Amino acid sequence: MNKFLFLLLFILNSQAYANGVSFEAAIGYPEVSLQNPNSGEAVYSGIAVSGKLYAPIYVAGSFSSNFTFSGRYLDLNNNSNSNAQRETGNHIGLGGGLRFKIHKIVLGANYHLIKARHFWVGSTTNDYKEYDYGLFSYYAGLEWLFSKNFGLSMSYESAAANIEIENNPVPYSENTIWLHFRFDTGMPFWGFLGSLFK
Amino acid sequence: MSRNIIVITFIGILIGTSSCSKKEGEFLTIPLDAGDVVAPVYATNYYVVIASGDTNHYGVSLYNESGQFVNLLKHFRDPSELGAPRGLIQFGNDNLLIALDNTDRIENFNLNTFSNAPFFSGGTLAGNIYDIETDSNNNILVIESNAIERFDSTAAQTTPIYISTTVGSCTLNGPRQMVVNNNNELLVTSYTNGRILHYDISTNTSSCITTTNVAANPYGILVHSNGSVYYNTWSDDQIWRANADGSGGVVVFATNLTILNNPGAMVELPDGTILVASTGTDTIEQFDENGNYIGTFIRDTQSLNVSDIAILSRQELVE
Repeated sequence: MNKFLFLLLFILNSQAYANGVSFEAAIGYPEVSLQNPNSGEAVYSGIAVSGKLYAPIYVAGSFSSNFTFSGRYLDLNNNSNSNAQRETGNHIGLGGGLRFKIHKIVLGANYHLIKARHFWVGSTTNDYKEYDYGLFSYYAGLEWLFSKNFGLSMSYESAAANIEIENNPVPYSENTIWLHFRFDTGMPFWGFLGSLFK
Repeated sequence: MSRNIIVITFIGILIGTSSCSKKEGEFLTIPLDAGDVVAPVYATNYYVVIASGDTNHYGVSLYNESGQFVNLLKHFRDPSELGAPRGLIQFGNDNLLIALDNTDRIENFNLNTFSNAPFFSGGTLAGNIYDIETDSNNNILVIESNAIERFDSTAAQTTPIYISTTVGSCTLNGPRQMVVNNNNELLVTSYTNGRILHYDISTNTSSCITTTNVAANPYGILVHSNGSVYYNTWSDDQIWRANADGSGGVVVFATNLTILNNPGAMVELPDGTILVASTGTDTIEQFDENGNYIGTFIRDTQSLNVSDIAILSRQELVE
């Protein structure tokens, strides 16, 4: 069903676009999995938000490539939460990556340094833990331009990390569907920097 | 524009269909690192426990080492548990033995559960029950009339009438309080005939070591950490400091009925000061080791006619 919808959207749209420095805000629906040291799996869902700056590298026709500088925040709730026991997690980080676009197809990869906090509250456990990790992700999506300067895109991002929490290896995996709102200034990178100091 | 609306609509459908189902799992559980496991920490806490009361008011109460009331441990008003508590002694970290007159028995009180169970009754334990003590071998000694009984830590009366009325030159006549010194020797105040009696209790047969004449009805007695024996005299309301065998007593607190009136049981607090039951004023008074008066330690509804005082030293978990 989702594949059909993606193809339909791709056929419907075709438009010219600007390729300068861009700003993007995104909201997403993540599903995160942390593997317990006892081999069980903790699964979370929640909301993800992201902000990005695109710096163009090379543009030729319908092809563009960009450096990206981004921050991301995940607000997670364990899918097993109940009135008796709850676990929530906050993951926040900064990073960067590369983004390529060919026509409407978007491909990219990111690396973020993440700081995470988890809270347990309930009749079974009351606890708090902090941990850091590096997260590598890659994504693919489709972008539609509503004007020369505004684009709306959807992407599917997959990420993984090997986290260590108090000397315990905890594999991390994440799949997020993102909805991006991108605003293109139309200015080249150095021109944009110059405009900041005028 | 309409094409954009279609795009947005399709995006909304995509998001909706993607988020319908949630996969269930378990909670993240990180096992404790060996370095995170913290051993429980215990601290030694001291308490003052008193046996007191008269008819319709008998009970055992607990205070902290500053004299503040903590709890009523046990009252003996219930028709099934009548008795006059006369002697108290700590028994292990968590228990208190209570010697009761009238019903002539020993109760074992649990300081954690606040429940009591019979320790001993019957046998030759009969008559006027007074003080209770333990020796260095965890035997329990109890004054009954003009004799002293002995039980082992399992409540077996291994030696009925362990110290009889007359042993060598020691004659018990109205014994009231007793104390075991660091040499595992027993000192007893013999109230009626005015004696400090000194026994060897290291074997199954007691023997008299010394006997010291004391006028004015000796009552309370303690062995102080400074090596001296302190005793008080009921009739002239004085406190004495003596040698290790009770001889050579010197008055350290002279008669002052506004402070001390009919003194009874005596104990040493962990700080070296001395508590004395003043049964005529229904208080417990505090003195330093030189006999200088410090002040009233306990004056409340529970300090009525105090028959015994004991110091509890307990290992308790630090929260």
